[in-house]
Amino acid sequence: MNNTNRYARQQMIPEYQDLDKRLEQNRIAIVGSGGLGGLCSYLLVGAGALNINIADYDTIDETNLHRQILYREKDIGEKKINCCKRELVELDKRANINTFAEKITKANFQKFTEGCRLVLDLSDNIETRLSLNSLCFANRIDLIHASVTAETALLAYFKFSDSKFIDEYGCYECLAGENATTAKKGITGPFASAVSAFVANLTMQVFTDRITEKLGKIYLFDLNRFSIKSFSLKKSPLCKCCGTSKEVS
Amino acid sequence: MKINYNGSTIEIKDNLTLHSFVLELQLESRTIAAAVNEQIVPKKNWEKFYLQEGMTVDIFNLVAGG
Amino acid sequence: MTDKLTLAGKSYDSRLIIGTGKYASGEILAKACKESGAQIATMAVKRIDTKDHTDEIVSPLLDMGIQLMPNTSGAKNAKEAIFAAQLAREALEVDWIKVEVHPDVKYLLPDPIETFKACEVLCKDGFKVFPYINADPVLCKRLEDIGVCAVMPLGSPIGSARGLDTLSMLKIIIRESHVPVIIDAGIGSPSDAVKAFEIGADACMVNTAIAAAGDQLKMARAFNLAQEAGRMAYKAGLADKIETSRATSPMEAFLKEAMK
Repeated sequence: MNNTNRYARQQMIPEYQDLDKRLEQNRIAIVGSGGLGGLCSYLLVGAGALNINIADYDTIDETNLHRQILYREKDIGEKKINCCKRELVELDKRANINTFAEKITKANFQKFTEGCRLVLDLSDNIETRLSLNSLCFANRIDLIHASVTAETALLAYFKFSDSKFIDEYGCYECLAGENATTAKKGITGPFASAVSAFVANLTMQVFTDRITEKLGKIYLFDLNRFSIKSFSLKKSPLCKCCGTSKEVS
Repeated sequence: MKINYNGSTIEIKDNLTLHSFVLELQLESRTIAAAVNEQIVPKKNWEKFYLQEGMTVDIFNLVAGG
Repeated sequence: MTDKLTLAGKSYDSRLIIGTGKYASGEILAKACKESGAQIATMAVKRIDTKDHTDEIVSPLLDMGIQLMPNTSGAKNAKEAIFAAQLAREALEVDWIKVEVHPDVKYLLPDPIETFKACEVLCKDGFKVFPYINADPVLCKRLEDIGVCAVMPLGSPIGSARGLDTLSMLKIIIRESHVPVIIDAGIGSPSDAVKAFEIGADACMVNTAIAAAGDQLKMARAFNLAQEAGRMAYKAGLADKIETSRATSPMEAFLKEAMK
């Protein structure tokens, strides 16, 4: 089978002509292979992002199956990350996937993001999200934040590698605050999958000019009304993470 | 004075800060984020941010699921 | 007469040094390195798997015969930089060290005082020291006095790709320096590299511009050609830039007179 035909439909889009090559040259670090991370990583591998570092310390249980579509009944009890890798490699045998069955913290962040310019925060709790925001900022690695419940989703690209971006738009903690909390809410398969696809799409656009119009914005998805609103991000000089005269330890 | 809040026009008293407005709505500030005229107002700025006539205020829940 | 680059007593044909950060895999890095023609590469000590010599970054480079220049990126002060240098020397059996101390998280600008302190200790301890610093001519001279092998002034902040923001200072440094000058950081395009060589830099370091390029191998090759072109132009002696116009031929002078 001729591999170069795999991306033919994607290549028909003018801005995406070289996208598969660009994706192949990069390594993406993804935190979470559940409701968002599973399908998102699958779509990315399909688009040509063959080099992925992916982290998830969970084990598959029955309540995952309705929305974590990479996993089957036979996988119940197995480590998510192993089954995820299996599916990705089955999609494209050239996929070069490094798995991390552990929580990502300061201790393993360097190793986890080795060779990566971009981290996808597809984790499932606010503490991890604030921590990843901090770590990505401190290490000047770009971050895509995506979070979802049954009603709404949030999506934003933080270009931490660009000090001009930081000056103007700040970080996730600027808008959420260092004491942010969330209530645990329900979620459906279709919504999780819909947002996974938007995340994958945004990730792809990072590697093309289409990202320009999305720089400095956060997108709020109203999943019931089918509407998307965008807001401009704004940096807070008092932010504990990225504020001025603050050294991040 | 009138402002637009989450799609509806409402009447609020003058000299209200975003912080006070959130308290009046009985919302827990830790669980939400806010934008005025389509620009995020950072959490740390809420206590100094005075609402003006005609502003469009959007308040939405922070979500963390993945 | 050859025009080789001499650093720490060793000679090199290529005047390009590449940074190894942000490559998706060791394989892609090795290919880019080959296309660039670089014979020296720098890598953060903190990212090297110091226990395992079959490390993804280091192994392919060693196979190609590349000179390793470990750097202390991540160090927040002299103490941490010195420790990283010692770690690198032990793990890699290489005594070259690029001293990189940037506690400033926003611009990644190097701390001159901590850098100087680290270099003092490391020079005495027999390391071949390459300090990464702001384009400060006085600091360069002070470092020269304590025995560094070269100075590495920045063109503009790391990753900013703003080219030679510090141009006027770089020219002074190059003019006054008795050790090689390696322009590092901010080189965003081959034309920046050409400019660096045209003003007389001995070498030039590039990381993000290649690693983050649309086609990394093509960009690496472009830089290869750039370092050649820039150095050749420098050796050929650029015509002086002058403030007022000057006719290049009698015909032009005639036309100029006629148009008055």
